[in-house]
Amino acid sequence: MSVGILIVCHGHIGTAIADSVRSIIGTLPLEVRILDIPTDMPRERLVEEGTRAVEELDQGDGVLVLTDLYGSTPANVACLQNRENVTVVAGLNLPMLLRVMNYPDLDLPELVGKAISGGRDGILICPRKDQP
Amino acid sequence: MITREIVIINKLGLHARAAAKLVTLSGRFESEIFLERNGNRVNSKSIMGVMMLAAAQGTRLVLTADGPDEEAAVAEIVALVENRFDEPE
Repeated sequence: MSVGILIVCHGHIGTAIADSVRSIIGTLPLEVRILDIPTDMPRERLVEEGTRAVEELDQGDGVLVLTDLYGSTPANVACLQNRENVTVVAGLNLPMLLRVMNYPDLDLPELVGKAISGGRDGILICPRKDQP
Repeated sequence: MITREIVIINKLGLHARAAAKLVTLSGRFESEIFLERNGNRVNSKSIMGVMMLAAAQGTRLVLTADGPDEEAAVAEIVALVENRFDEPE
């Protein structure tokens, strides 16, 4: 068993990030479901789909829900899933998902830590070419 | 413990897919494996660590392996790098 991953983001961001990680590492070692959220989908349906996805993903080791913008509709829908054995992390970026997929054997609390550190470590001022 | 200097020779450098290959290969070994560039030392089994090296073509890195299979680890990683990560150039 392992932690399931649910990605809830604006437009096609979730699919694009997951596809990019898959092309980089060749596979997605954790079970992933993606909710691409269009602007015109009724909130009730989003919540319903999110709940169903979490239930299907939870094989006993819990679910890590990754969303893009805290406070937005996708994140609000994601946060409704917050309960025991489910953790929602906002600020999804490519480094975050890449690091999560690097540690498929970790439990949910450890994976949450990797998600946050991966997302943060990927944000930096890039060194100039003329500096070592 | 074995330490070896390696040079990234493929055109695209240690880009994302190359880094993923290196991380996957490193993960097969029990030994602790590190890569160092200008004092920045990262775990060779960490994809984000390896990405943070931003090692372009020509970059020199210090490879260190420490553990029961350190010799095989260094040999296979050196081979991967010298084989340009199976890339054409």
